[in-house]
Amino acid sequence: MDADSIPAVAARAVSEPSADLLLTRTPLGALSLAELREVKVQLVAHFVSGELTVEWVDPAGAVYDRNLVTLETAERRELNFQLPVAGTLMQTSALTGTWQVRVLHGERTLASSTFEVMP
Amino acid sequence: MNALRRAALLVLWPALAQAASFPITISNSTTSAWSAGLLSLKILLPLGLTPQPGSPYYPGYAFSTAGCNVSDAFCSGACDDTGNPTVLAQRAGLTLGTNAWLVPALAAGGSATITITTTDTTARLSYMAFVVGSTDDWLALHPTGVSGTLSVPLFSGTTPLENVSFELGGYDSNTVSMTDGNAASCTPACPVPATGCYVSQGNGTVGSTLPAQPTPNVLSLTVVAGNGANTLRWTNVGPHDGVVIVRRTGSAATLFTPVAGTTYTVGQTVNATAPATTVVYADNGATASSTFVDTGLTNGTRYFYKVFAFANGRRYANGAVPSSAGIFSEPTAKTGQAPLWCYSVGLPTMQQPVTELGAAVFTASNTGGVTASKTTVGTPATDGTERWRPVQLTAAIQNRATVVPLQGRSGRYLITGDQGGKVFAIDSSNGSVIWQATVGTNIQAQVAVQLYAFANAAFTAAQPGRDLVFVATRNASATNNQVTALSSVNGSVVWTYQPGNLDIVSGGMAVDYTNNRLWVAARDNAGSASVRVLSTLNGAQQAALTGLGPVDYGFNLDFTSQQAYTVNNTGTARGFSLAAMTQVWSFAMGGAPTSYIFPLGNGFIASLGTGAVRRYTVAGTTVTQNWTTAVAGPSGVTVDYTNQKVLVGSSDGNLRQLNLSTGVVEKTVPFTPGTSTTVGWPTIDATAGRVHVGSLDGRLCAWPLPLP
Repeated sequence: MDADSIPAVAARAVSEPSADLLLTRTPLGALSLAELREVKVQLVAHFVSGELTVEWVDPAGAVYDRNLVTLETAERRELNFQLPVAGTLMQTSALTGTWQVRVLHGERTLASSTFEVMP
Repeated sequence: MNALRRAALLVLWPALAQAASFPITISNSTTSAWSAGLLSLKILLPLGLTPQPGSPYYPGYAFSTAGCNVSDAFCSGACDDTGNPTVLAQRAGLTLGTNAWLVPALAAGGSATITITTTDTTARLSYMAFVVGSTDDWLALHPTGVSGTLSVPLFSGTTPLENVSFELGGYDSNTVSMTDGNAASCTPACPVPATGCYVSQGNGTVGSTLPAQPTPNVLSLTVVAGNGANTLRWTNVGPHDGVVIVRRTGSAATLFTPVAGTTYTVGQTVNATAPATTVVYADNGATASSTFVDTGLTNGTRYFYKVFAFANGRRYANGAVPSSAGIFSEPTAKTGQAPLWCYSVGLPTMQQPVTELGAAVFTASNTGGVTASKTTVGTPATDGTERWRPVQLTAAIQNRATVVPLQGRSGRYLITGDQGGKVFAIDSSNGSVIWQATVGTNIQAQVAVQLYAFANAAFTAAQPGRDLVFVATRNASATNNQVTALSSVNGSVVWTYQPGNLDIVSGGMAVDYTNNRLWVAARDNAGSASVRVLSTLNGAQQAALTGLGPVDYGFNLDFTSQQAYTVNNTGTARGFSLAAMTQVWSFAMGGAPTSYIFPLGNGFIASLGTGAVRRYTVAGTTVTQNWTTAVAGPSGVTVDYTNQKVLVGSSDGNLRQLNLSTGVVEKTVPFTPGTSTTVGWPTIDATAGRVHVGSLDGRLCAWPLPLP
């Protein structure tokens, strides 16, 4: 058998991929660019295998940054990502407004959430 | 010497839960034979297999080396560990038939079936194959892109998987030498384990394929805008059989998802929603290109592209490269106010680029890629094209690379850090990484370098034969940051300043060669000093100044006044005596800055978030404003001394040229007419007569000087 011809067959026991995410700010409650240091995402992925992408979308709707991780199939995986704010491009370019974070797996958006960054 | 070897491994028909039995068929699909192998339910990493740092797609593992002949309890008399799975099992404490199984030699095209049984629902399967004898080739099983494990699960929860397939890649360790991670050659310990000794570059296709795992995306997708054309380049990642590229004008080509098993042809409309999404390039599956020139385009029109890699029977990647929006580029007429060229990387690239005068321009972006674009005045065909493929670091890069000659080496080197806390030294001529180091968890500030060739006797005596690279951290901590001096020879740590109360450092540091001092600016959590002065010789703190407020924009030296200039986050500019390390003057500008203040010799230019660029003169302790010019969301400035101009980007999408003496706006060049983006911090190539500047929408563009 040729390796390249091996069919990809999903394991019977594996459920549909899904993800939950929780956003937190550092310091807690910080809203303004002057105060906010990081925005952290705690991501719980269920039955996800392969490449998982976390995209941070700026208030203009453009992707500002992304995190990539490749997972093995697991019933539950907890992952943490963060978007540094203080002292970064977000601050120098005053990228205030409604930000979005979204979790992509293949063509699917498994989870998304928004957060505000004030001037 | 052995070429790439590939084999396939299948796990089929598990029995019922609990005592599951897995007949595992290992097939060798290539023309190369494997001598022997070992299956194990124990993760092989603890057996001395150390992931190669910095390369998630081609992990290499130092395990054993040819001629590792030892005599011990496991191997009576001198015997060759290399490729000897029985010895491996013994050294690892595995029990053959219980948690480890030998795999016989596989001829080219041959196969073998090994049945394993386990009741352990947490069991994970590992596999290695070897070539015994004069070579040291080996093959390890691991999921694609995962460098932290060499194993895969056999159960989902308590349920045995019905069908798990792996695609295995071979590794030819004869063709590369092992290093200690800092570019120094090394020999793995004998016998195993061998830690801290890696294969620096893989040359085999690696990875396993778990069920339904998508084809990996291509990497480092870039586009160079030319006259009526866009040139796309990318780097293929295995498994890979080719790509399909779709294009849409006006907005992102997100209305198309290729269907597995489907062949697409050039010219095919794959979504008719206006403007239509069309296939502009398609590999046939037999060849795999890494570049495509899209011609016959309209200058000034925005074209969006998505590149879908495919493999394994045309299973398509999701095309989310560099992001789910794909990438765009606008062909340019190269005349009038149109740029000479633009280079798209897809994610923000706002920092000030750095030039190799008349030859190249370097920058980086939130993609984590360090890029090099050629400057070829008079040769439009190559102007703006890549000198080398982007060097992928581990996270976003938002600082300007420092480009320097290094002691004991020829040529020039880019040194930069990323938001993953990694520092890289890169050969500017070819993009090769000469060393890398880990310093904290996030680096935002530009690194500083003290060059041996220009240092005084005290420095050369303390640091013989090397320059020092200074790196400050922006960790997710208000107290646990550090400044580290690295050896330019190999990136090893020379000294570390970590006082326990250093807040984040986001701005660049300044080196005072006369006094061998490093000026560091930071935030001021809980009243901690936001200005520190360190000895470059040993990292000893020589001054710590409090009460200055948080400082995110770093230091620059004003050589005329022999002062260090900085500005705090609320807009108070300050000058400090280099000799006395005390403040000489301060001035509140009435607004938060957007960059460091640009020294002009007894004066400076400041960019303020209130929407102004101002020039000031400093006389003793008196600061006088010379002019102020309204510029929305100004970037940092650069000065074109040849033409006596100031260049500044803006959040209104324009690059402006101001008169250095008066501040009058003389030219306003739109980055893209009719659309808006934030324009970054420009830099000047005085030899080529060019200005280079990046943008929030992920492009680096070039214009002639003075601006048209």
